[in-house]
Amino acid sequence: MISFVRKWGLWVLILLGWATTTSAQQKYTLSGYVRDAETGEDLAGAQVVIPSVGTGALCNSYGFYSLTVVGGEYDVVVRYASFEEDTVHLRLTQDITQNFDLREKSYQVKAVEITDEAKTDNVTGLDMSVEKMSLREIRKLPAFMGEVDVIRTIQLLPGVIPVGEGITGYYVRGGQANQNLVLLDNATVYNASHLLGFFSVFNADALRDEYKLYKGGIPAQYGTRLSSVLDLHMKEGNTKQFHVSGGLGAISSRLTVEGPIAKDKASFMVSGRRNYADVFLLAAKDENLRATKLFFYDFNAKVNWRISEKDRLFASGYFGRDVFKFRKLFANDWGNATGSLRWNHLFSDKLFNNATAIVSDFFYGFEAETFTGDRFKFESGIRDFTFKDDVTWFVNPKNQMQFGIDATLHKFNPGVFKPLGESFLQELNVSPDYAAETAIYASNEQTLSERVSMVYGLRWSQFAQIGPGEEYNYDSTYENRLDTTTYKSGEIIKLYHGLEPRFSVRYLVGAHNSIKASYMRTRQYLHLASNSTASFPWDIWVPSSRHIQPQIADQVAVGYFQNLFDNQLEASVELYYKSMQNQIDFKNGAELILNPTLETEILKGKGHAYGAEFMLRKTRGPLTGWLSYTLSNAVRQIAGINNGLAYPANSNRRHDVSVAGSYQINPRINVGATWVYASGRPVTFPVGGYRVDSVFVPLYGARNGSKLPDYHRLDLSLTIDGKDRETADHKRRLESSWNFTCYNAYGRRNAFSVDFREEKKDDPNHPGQQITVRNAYKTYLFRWVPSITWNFKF
Amino acid sequence: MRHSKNYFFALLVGLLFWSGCEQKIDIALDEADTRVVIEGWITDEPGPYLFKVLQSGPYLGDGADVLVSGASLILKDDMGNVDTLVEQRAGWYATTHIQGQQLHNYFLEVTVAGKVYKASNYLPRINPILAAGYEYNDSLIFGAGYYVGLVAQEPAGIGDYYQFRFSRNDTAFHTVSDIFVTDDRFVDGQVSPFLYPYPCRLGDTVVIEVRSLSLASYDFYITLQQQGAGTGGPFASVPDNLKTNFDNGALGWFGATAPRRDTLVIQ
Repeated sequence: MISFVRKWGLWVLILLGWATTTSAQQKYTLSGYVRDAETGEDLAGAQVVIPSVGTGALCNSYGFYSLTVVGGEYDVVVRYASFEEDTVHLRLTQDITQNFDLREKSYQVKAVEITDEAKTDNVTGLDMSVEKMSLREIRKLPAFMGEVDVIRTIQLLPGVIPVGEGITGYYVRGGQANQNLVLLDNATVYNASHLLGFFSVFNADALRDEYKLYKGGIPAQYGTRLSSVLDLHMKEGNTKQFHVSGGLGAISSRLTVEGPIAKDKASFMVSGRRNYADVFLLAAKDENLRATKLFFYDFNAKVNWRISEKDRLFASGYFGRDVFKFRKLFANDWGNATGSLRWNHLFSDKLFNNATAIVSDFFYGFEAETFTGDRFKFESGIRDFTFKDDVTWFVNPKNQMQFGIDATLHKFNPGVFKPLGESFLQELNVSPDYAAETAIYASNEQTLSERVSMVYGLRWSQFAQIGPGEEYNYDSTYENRLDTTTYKSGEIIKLYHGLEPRFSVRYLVGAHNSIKASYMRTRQYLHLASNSTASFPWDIWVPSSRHIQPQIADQVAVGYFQNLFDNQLEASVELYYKSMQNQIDFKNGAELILNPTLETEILKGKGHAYGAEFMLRKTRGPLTGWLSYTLSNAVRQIAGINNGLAYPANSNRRHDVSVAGSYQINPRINVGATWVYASGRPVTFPVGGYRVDSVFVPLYGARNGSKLPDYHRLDLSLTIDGKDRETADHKRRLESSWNFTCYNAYGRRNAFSVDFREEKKDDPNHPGQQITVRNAYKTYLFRWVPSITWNFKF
Repeated sequence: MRHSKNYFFALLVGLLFWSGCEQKIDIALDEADTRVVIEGWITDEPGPYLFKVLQSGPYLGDGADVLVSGASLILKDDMGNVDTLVEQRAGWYATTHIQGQQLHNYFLEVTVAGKVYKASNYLPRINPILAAGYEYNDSLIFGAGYYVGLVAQEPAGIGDYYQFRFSRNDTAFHTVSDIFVTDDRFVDGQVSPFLYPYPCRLGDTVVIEVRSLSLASYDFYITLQQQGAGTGGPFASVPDNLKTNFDNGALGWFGATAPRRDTLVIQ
């Protein structure tokens, strides 16, 4: 009991503290939605402020706000990003529902604005370690092969490092690539990449403009992954007008249709994208290359229905597949499918409820013919059914509570191998695993004084590996299986649970600077079985079990935030330290596929990471962009690797610099540029060699003891809008634009990898004879990759 | 699945990224102290069996064997037989009388410069080759030609491992890409074919061999496949040292196998 008080006493006191601040004066509640006047879509994160009493509220992710103040007459100001501010004069003598429709600023307004109303979110907001991005902004930056990619852009942010050149997998603050949660309309996307990682699965045309990446200080409503959360939402569809938009690109094309089903009541959005990577192959001389199919496609769809002022219904789905085929010899396809059904309900003007039912599926399939002419197929995947309920309670202007539950049933299919037709091959199954992952959470955002605000929350997560299933017991070496316990359907095989406290505080030093600090604990109950550096679509997710403990991370961060030159420049410095427990890796030569005793291949250990992130950002005016620098270190220590000594993690890059900028030359022409510099990826090079069974093999020293050469690259883009763009009437009009990009504009041969090869060479000592030597080769992938994309909208 | 990964990636990069290239670079590698490397196999065929003792060397360079003379090697089995090997020529040591048998364990003890290195292995079962033959195939992947194959009855019960070896006109195929090892999960208890992926011409003389492997030897070849192919990019296997069954820091492999072979002339 004493330890409980010591541990949680602070929380209890804070909660009591807020209860007493709710005094009994005659107060009324102003609530409603903030929307885009042109499209009717919600504006999540818009600010509703009453300047005269110095209070305000932020819209939640569905655009809903609620503000309770003492009765009286007020000017209410509504602000949001690049939208024109709206002010309404209201007399509050009862609870009022007031919706706001904001218009996007025209180019002229944006160009002349030098000082704006205080835009101080960076300083006054409670968010830290959070990157807010806008598709509007990133469309002006160079995009690889013309594909606007949300994930590729977050790789330009401090603390985020790409897994490899051109690959959409990423590491956040020294974590692993599989420790990032990627959500699309609240559904987990298990494999966020197409074509083995060169493109992300997200079609930017189908996404809502604003999105967030949490690198730390993750709110209590998010769980299940250790490192980061990328929260994406699909567009809801224009509730006022029909629109068709799309683009023809070098490597893929897109088409999106959106519009009202019932004006201002219901709308839809459907979007499709088809990549044609294999079109280039048709030009190949080689007949086999011409016969190869390689492409991906994806669909997004969403329907949104405002049943009443109190009820809204959303249904959305994503389906994407990669296809890789070579004649009849093999056919390979994989991808994600997600579906979300969401119901927003207002219990009162202070109580907002969001109930969501979600299905998420990842499938990998492979069909092939063996050399003996026998055909077989292999399938693996994971499927989740989730129910979530999240409540936002606008208690009073000083307190905003969030609480909810989260329950997921996972079905893991580690792999099925099936011969097709008459065959000597035997069917082989690794029986599926089942698990239930649940959590309850509560958090409160509290304004303590004009200077101090904090968010404190607690998430309690549980994970049960459940039957039907078999559990093997091993001796202490995990080499010998002792016996097997069989579990019936629904029986709990192994249960884990734990608390995940989350805390952030902001102290306003002055009007333009603040200090913030945060702590979070996160738990991850799923593990990715992969023994290559990047993740493959056939990598297998495995549940925590008696043999594999849940991963746990603790992160503390402190930051200083300052706005300069009338808030034109946002500057920040953040320091973080993160420690990770129960990290797993795999033995040398581990068999991960179709292995029912995968736990015997696992190695366990821990890791930690720390760093400093510097960011300077300009969000207004014709020139926008940012400059960031990260100095960091990330280390892992796994028993059985590197003699049990700590070694640099794959995510380790000491220096990481990004510059991203776009300049609007005139209303029709925009130029963009990005430049990145990073220390080389850590690699393990041989320190010796020997011949065994006629093969010369490397002898390795310390794991990740060497580095590839430093990486740097410049990308450029030019966007020219069609002439008709500025016709200011709001009737339907044709807009079009040309986008030209050049990736790696100065053509640096950045090392994607370095490998060593045996080659024959004339023996200098014995003329006429040859000797075998080994030479180092570097592979570099992209130099001067140009692309042209034509985008349209009407 | 293992092979498909690299193949898959090579193809993808080749297809998509025609702008990708390779460049020879100079690189200075650290050099570790040399280690003792011991290699040799006992089989269920009549001996003598040859064992080799050498030293590891620098990775770059000609990779020529640095043989070690004056080592002492003793080979024992689990039936009480002991054989002290004799050095035939520098670094090569031969057994005198011991003969391997299926389903028995073997122990090797090597002393080099006063240091003792031990390893053991199991000689697993094998069934005879039932039939061998060849057929013409214009394979898209391996090319047109006559392909040689064998058929054998795989013994019932999971846990058998095999290696397939091939030589043509007295040339053995023994690079990393010629390593074909398999477990019996997909073919357990079945009359199973294996087709060697080497197109042959009329008149070729071909020797095909199938060898039984213990699980340890199978794992050894799996890591040899992965690591012998060199280091690579983010898609390559994580670089790690090749498995060894010697203790005390020695490298190499002490194997035990029952090989079965057949000779064919393509005509």
